[in-house]
Amino acid sequence: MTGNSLTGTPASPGYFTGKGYVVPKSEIWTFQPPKEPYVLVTETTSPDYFALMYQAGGIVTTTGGAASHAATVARELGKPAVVAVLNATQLLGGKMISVDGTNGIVSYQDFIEPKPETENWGKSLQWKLFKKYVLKDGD
Amino acid sequence: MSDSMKTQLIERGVPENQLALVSKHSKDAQKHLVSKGVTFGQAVGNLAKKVGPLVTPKNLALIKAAFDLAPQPKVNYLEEGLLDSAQAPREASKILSTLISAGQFLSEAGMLGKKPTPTQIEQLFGINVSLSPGDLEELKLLRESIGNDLLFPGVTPSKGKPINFEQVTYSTLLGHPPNSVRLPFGVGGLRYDKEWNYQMSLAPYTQEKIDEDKRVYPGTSTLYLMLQDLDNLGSLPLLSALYQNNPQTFAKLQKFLHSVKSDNTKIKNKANLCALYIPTQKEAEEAISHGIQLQGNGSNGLFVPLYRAYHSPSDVYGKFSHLMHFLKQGNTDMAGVVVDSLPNPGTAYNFNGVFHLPWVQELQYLTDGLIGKIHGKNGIYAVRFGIGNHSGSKEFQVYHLGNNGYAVKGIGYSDPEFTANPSSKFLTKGEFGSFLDALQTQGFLSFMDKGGEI
Repeated sequence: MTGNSLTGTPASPGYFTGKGYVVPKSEIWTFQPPKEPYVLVTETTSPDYFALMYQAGGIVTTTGGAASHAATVARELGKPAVVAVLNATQLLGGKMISVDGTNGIVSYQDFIEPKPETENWGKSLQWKLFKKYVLKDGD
Repeated sequence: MSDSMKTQLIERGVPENQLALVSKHSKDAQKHLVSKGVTFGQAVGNLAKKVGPLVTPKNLALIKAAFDLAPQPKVNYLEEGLLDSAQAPREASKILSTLISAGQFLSEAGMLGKKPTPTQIEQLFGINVSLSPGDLEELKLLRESIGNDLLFPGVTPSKGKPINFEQVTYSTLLGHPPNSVRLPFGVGGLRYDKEWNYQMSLAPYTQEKIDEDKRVYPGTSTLYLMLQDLDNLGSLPLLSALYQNNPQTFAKLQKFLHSVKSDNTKIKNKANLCALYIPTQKEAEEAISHGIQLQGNGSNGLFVPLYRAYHSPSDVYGKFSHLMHFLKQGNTDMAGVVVDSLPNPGTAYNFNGVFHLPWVQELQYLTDGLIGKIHGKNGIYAVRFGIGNHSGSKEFQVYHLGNNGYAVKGIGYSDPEFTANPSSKFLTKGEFGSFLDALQTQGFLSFMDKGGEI
């Protein structure tokens, strides 16, 4: 992934790419999860974060170490995690993030909303077939 | 004596800064040892001084009434005999903890839409004070101000003079434990105190937490009340909303609860192995194949996902607490995630400590730099310090002595057979290649081969 990168302490091995969601402690209970797996970005985690960590594809925290709550829970959940990533909560919200939990690297770039399927519909093979065989409209 | 032991530990690779922490914490902990001679009145005074700043005058009046009405402490617990030095402080803490538990229960009942009466609370928690409806609110505030849980002081043999924490700790780490073995992986380490350790399924465990133990983790009361009212779950306000908005999740929850309720297994005379070093699934399965059981709430009675091994089954209770918080916010999507994350019901494992420091905020500093911390509402309160005697006491100490990875993290106490085991030595990273090696080195596997039961 091109773009910027941050480094931290590798806390749980693996690699995951997804959109970053910064969830402060005050927003745990109101957080509306996206449909796609995401990267949970927060200052630190506590047991209250469990459901979010369970659902997230990767975890990034600004504090903590290899034995911190975020690290131990991420390891047992098998989710890539990097901890002690300075400025993560300022920089990663809404970005497309790659979490390299093995090497402790977090890469990020602007998130580009994928075009809805209908917008690509006009160029798709399905559309061409639909036009040809259903609408009986030749190319 | 301490200096020479420290030197030996440094030679074995223990970082000096960690030893300095151990020294500091041991000395600080020493100040909080309570002796056998403490009377109930003194214990009440000490406890009130510690928690007093945290509570309101009305709370204090309630606490005082409970203390005044308490029967004189008896010394006929299981710990009687050699292990009886902290009965009075223990009794005082139990009384306070009972009030806190009742407050926690009331809060969770309120979230569920239930309103227990003062009489119900008095009966359920065995509170001698005649409670008014206003007192129930005070109990909730008491819980909020102190936290969910109050750690009871444990008991330890006195033999006339106080034990020196620091020397005992160094001695233990050097492989000459007065009463323990050290583990490379355990907060609780090996608990061999079969009398106090037992395994049971979640429903009776929950019942016991409420009825007897008076230490209620967040969510315990929620699970307890749901199990009590299983046939009317849908009538509870928040669950009714879940039923309407997310019926699939409601059905999963109901299935989980029915499964929990139908299992009343209780196995006594077992000791448990708790872990801070978190083995991989493969390692855990290998260990289990040797008959070793790992603390937790096993999905099939065998393997335990150890991310929740610290205070399991508090992990399950915690999920019920989370569930209610999400539902309170109308967040049924995340409520569904919580229910999905519930483990298959299985055996709940209990472990007890013998000696605990009073659990109050002012002792929070004792845990600085250490792991194995105990968290409360207002942060980290205390690390558990364990002490026992030569004839097989049972407790643990929690220190982080390693540089990184899984160096020595915990100290477990065991019976004389382990204590006498010459293979019990301080292990540092690199001295063993795997979890199983560590178990072998510590003598667990050979113990199991001899028909021992961990």
